[in-house]
Amino acid sequence: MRSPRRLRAGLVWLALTALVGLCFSAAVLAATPQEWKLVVPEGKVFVQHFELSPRVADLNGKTIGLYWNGKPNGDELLERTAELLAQKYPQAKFVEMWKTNPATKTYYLFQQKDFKSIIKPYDLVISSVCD
Amino acid sequence: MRSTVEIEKAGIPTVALTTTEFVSLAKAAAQANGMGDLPFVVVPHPVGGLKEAEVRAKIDPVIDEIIYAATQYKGQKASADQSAEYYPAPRITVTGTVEDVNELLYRNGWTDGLPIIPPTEERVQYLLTGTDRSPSDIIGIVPPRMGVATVETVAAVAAMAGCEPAYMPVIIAALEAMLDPAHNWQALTTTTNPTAPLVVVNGPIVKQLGIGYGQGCLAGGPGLKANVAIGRAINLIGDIIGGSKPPDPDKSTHGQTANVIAMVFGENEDANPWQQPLSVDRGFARDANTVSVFPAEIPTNINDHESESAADFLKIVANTMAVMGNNNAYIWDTDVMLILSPEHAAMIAKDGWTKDDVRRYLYEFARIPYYVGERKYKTWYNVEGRIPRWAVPPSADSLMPIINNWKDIQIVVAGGSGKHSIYVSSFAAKSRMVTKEIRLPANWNDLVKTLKP
Repeated sequence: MRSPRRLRAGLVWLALTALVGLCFSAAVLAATPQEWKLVVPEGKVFVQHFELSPRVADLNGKTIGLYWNGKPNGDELLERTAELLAQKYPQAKFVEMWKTNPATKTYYLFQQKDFKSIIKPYDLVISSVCD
Repeated sequence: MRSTVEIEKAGIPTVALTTTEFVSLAKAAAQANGMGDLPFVVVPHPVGGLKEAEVRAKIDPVIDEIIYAATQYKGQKASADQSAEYYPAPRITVTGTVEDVNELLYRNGWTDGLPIIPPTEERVQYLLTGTDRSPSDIIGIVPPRMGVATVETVAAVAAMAGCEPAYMPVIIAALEAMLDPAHNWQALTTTTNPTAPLVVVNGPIVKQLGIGYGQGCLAGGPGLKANVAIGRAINLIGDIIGGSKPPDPDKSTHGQTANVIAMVFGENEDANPWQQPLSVDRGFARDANTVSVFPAEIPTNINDHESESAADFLKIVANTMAVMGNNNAYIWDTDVMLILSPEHAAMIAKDGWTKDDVRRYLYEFARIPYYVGERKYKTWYNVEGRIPRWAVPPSADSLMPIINNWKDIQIVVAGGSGKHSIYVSSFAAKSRMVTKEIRLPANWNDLVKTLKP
């Protein structure tokens, strides 16, 4: 009859062998090429397409809104743009929107209740969306 | 960018000035809002932080482009909507090892670089057992890519992140919170600010799912699988479905690691000495399961082993909160968050202070001298919704608060033993913490039993 000590040692040996075998099989399985059918996780893009508004053929006689979202120095870009355009289109009128209506100095102009009436006077809007 | 798009949609032609570093983000934003043809004129980056003459000189070389965009640009003829079917998600078949699958997904921009569990049909089906919602249900449109998040695609991402089916209700509720317009996910996910989601879970679900709320609840490790797996799923949804990956269109200057695994933790409601958890502050019943998603900047430690009273401790907290470099310091219309350790919370409550007492005190004493932030205050002056009436006209020594309203200091008790609390400032720009109730499926009790202790 086997001693309990030898029996325990035998069982431990068997368990270790099984464990090593299991690890080896798992490693082989992971390393073995197989076919995977995967669900593409990114989802389709929700897109609506809007057409551009018609351009303004001649800026003379037109009112051009300069829209600044508030990022530092964007106002300087717009002021210089107006200066240079005024040289080519002396009859154009330029409105620095943030000066006539400080509430327009925001990223979120479109969320304002009177958004449509704010932009209505303009034939063209030049915006600064720089960082 | 969105405002320029909406002006164009209203029938007024526009020309948008942007910089070399931000033109791809601007174009993506225009595309996502249906105006992929919007004309841009690009000047060299940067514009901010330069002298006036340097900025103005950037316009001269591009003035003819501005004129062309204003007078002649035509764009391309708009095409029809091609995105009629959002479910089922496409399938791909791959032959290879687990490593090959990981590499394929990584190369397609569908992982964050850490290993994932392949989102096989079987695995995704298994995750779907965690919700009663149909896999075809649309949870929302995830910015900035405007990817359609169906329950199925969310389950696929959750599977990749190593989630269990029982985590699905938390992930869906967190996603609903982030999609709430009050959270302003579009801006959070494209800004140069190193923002990341911070998600507080309240209610019995915290213990049912094993969401860490005690020692090391913002770390990973044994017993914290739910925190990190849910956190990773939330960020992968933004990265994969929302397409927000650096360097474009995620423009975060540095980013932060919580933008890989979002900060997810439960409130330690047992250790809340006021017995008034965040969910109750937000108007929910004491036993409601909720998620609150906060638009976090990088959190700041509050180390205080020395204070023996609420007044002493809160002076240190107020000092920690008064930081001019945080967005909320000058864009006041937002929340900030204080995560109190149980020991600090107990010390405050022992002195008889309520949560509102703490809020009022911090509002009064977490202040910044006007002269420190003068340039910022002036830049943002008179911007609608930002400048409080009390702030005009300040003197150089005026002490400026860091938010508009004392009620917007959100207080949570979390963590284990130790005398460290955390202050979390806010991205702030039209961005708020949003709380949503977690809806449990009918098989909830069975689901919870599948979780390993």
